Amino acid sequence: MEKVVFSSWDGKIFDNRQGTEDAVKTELPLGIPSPQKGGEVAAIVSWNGIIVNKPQADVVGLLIAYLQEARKLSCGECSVCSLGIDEALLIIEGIRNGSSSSAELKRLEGIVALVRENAKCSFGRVAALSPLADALEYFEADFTNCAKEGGDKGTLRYQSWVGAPCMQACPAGIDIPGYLELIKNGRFLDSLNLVRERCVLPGVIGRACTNPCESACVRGTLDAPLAIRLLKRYVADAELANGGGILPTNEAKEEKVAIVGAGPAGLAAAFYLRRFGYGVTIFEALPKAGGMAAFGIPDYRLPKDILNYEVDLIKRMGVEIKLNTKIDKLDWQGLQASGYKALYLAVGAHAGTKMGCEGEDTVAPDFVQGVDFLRELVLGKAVKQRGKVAIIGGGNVAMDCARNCLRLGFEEVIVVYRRSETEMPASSTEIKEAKEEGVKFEFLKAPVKIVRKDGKLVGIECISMELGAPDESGRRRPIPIKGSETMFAIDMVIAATGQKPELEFAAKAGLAISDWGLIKVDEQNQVTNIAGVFAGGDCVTGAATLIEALASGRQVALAIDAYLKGEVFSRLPDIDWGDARQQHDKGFVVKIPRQETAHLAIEERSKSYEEVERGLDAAAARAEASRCLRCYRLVVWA
Amino acid sequence: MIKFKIDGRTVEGKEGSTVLENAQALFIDIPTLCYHPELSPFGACRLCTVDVKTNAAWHLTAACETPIEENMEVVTNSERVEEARKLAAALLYRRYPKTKAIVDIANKLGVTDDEVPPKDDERECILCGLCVRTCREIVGVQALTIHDRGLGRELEQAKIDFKADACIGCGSCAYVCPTSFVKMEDYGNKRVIWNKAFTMAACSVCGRYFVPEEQLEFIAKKTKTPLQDLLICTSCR
Repeated sequence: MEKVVFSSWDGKIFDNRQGTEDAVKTELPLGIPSPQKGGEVAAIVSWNGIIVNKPQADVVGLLIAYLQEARKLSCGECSVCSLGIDEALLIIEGIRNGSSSSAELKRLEGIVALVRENAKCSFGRVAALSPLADALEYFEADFTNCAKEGGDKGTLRYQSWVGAPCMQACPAGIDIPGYLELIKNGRFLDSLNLVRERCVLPGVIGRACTNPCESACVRGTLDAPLAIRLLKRYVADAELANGGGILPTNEAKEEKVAIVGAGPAGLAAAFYLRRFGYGVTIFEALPKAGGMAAFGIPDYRLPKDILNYEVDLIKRMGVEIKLNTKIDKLDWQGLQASGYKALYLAVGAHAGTKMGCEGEDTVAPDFVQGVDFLRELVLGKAVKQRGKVAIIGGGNVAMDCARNCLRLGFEEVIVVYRRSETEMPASSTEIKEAKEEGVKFEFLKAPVKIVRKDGKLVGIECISMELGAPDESGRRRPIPIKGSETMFAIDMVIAATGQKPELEFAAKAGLAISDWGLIKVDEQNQVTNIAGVFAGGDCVTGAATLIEALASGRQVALAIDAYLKGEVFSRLPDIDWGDARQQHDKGFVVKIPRQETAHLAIEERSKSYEEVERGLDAAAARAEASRCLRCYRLVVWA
Repeated sequence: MIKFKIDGRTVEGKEGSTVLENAQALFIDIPTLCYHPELSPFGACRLCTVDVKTNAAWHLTAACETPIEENMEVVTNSERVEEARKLAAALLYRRYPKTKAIVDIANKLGVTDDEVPPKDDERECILCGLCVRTCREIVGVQALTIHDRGLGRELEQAKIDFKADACIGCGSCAYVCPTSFVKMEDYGNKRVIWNKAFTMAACSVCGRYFVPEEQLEFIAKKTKTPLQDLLICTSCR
């Protein structure tokens, strides 16, 4: 939509309804699909303004649609917003069917102004009645005409979108203001079930998520972001502490789906498919389910009983998980012969990438890939090395390896990273806790040679780096300084510079794989080049986050459901509705400090694998959840 | 102590106290409905609206929920403030035209509305949350919770949820309810509240049925007092 007839988007007014100005190309939300088949979008009514594309658009009808959707989001706690919306609906519906005169609109002015300034939450103030302000100012003629015409105009077909800055940032689209509100009101189980609509491992995510939602939280600009992750953890832990729960399924369907990989992507797909009623079998190569959550995240960050409980819940739904069952060769025909109607490949990215360092091809107990090191620890393999260990890399895998080494009793643990601390991809909490525990850091250094004496690793030669211009990742590129090589005396080296998927099993099956070594899938429905074979998670995106894998698993479950029903999967389009953080919030928000979690004392930490982050208690959880401003934003279009 | 201005007067108030608490201490009349001095503020009725200025701009806000800040300016009696309160009252009146507490406040604030939709209900729940807060904060059980509308919750109207097995029948909610929506009825040795029936205990001195057994059990457990010691009604004690 480039040329419009009217726009008040972002407070900038453009009015060409009289046709006097040249249609102007404005920065408006693009790619909006029309709810009318094959038609163009006629108009948009949103928290951020009204846009009219076609002069004959039924703006009054769309305003009613907006209010009907807003009513569902208005929690009902403060009277002005919920009663204000009902009053507005009464008046405007009356005008639309001709039973009221447009003079009634006068009463709305005061109500709109009151709610925009004095509603209890951000939704009330910013979204509930805000388009009415523009409607009252610029669309009086539409109201008058409606009132004059009268009669039953029928219901308008429209589409709607609800979001919030935190929801936009969450790859899984969890209803964050919703679950926080349920915690605020003490409805912990309801909150947990709401989270489960989008995220099936809340206990895991509540500890190990990178929480992009918190970076987007509007309160971040006011006092401190909501502790969204810790609140998710709270409700997950509460269920387990209360003896656990049951996950419901629907009527059983005939079709069976096979999944390769019981990591977060596979488990999520299994959960949603099983809930639809499909039979689900997961083939997992390792002795435990959980993928990176089981074999990548150490106990001091994610106690195994939490993951085991959440996997168990999924198994008890009737999902079959075949452990120790590696698929060496992808045989889709064979699986189909066994009755599987669809296949989801979710094998993850478990092979460590090369560092580009001389001597790294010699595999030995004193030189390992970080992901292998972590996996073998979980599998119970003893680590015989001690002394000084150097971990190469700056991500969370490097941090996990470093902190594990401390707990194993290495004399000195050094993380060697080729950029500076600012560019480290690891989460700031991880870096902070690693430093507190005594991990040493060598920045702007990269290994060039692994030095062995009589077959034993004695050191690594590192070259110093300086930072140049940014590369594709946006971070400054490290440039080696000639002649700056230095030697570090080291007993063990762990490489943690990246992970990629192992796809040899699919080599002969004709599966399309990209130049980056990732499985190629259709963006809309995640199907590969083989009909009925889908893929998702790290094996498609490259090493990414847990929450992205969980989101992918859910999307694929919806796509497979459509596929098995013979329907075309239409995924909700990713419309860029602009920055939902646009506040225009006229309210007075009181600053309240964030509830913090206690941590295990530093002296205790390196002695054990006990969980470092202690979590919030019920009172702190409710108090923290009460800080949520409910920044729901609403758009309707027809 | 925090220095701030209210209606042109420079005064001092305790750190952490709200605008409403200070106004009441200064005998400045601000209407309230969902507020109770013993309970945490809820900000539902918006009748205690005042105008406050902290940095540059003036904002309408609920006095019950707003802590005082150094150099804050508060106005409780401007036309803007009165209009805001009147409008909030008018919205409530249109929804609950027969409920006495609402009629009283509407009259007090000068709401004149003859075109109110007809209604018969006198004792309605106005979602003030006093019962919920009392049950949780004073009594210490969680028999009442708010069930809000929200994404995916498909509730036509927000409501108060009652959890029967947590309720001890104390009647504190009926006591604080401003609209008599919460009904408590005692018939002989039975009490019915929120549709839950309780058996009442009799006073060991005068024989009057005075308290639900469940409430006594709750108090006995909480205060570690033997049940027998509690079986004396307030008149006989």
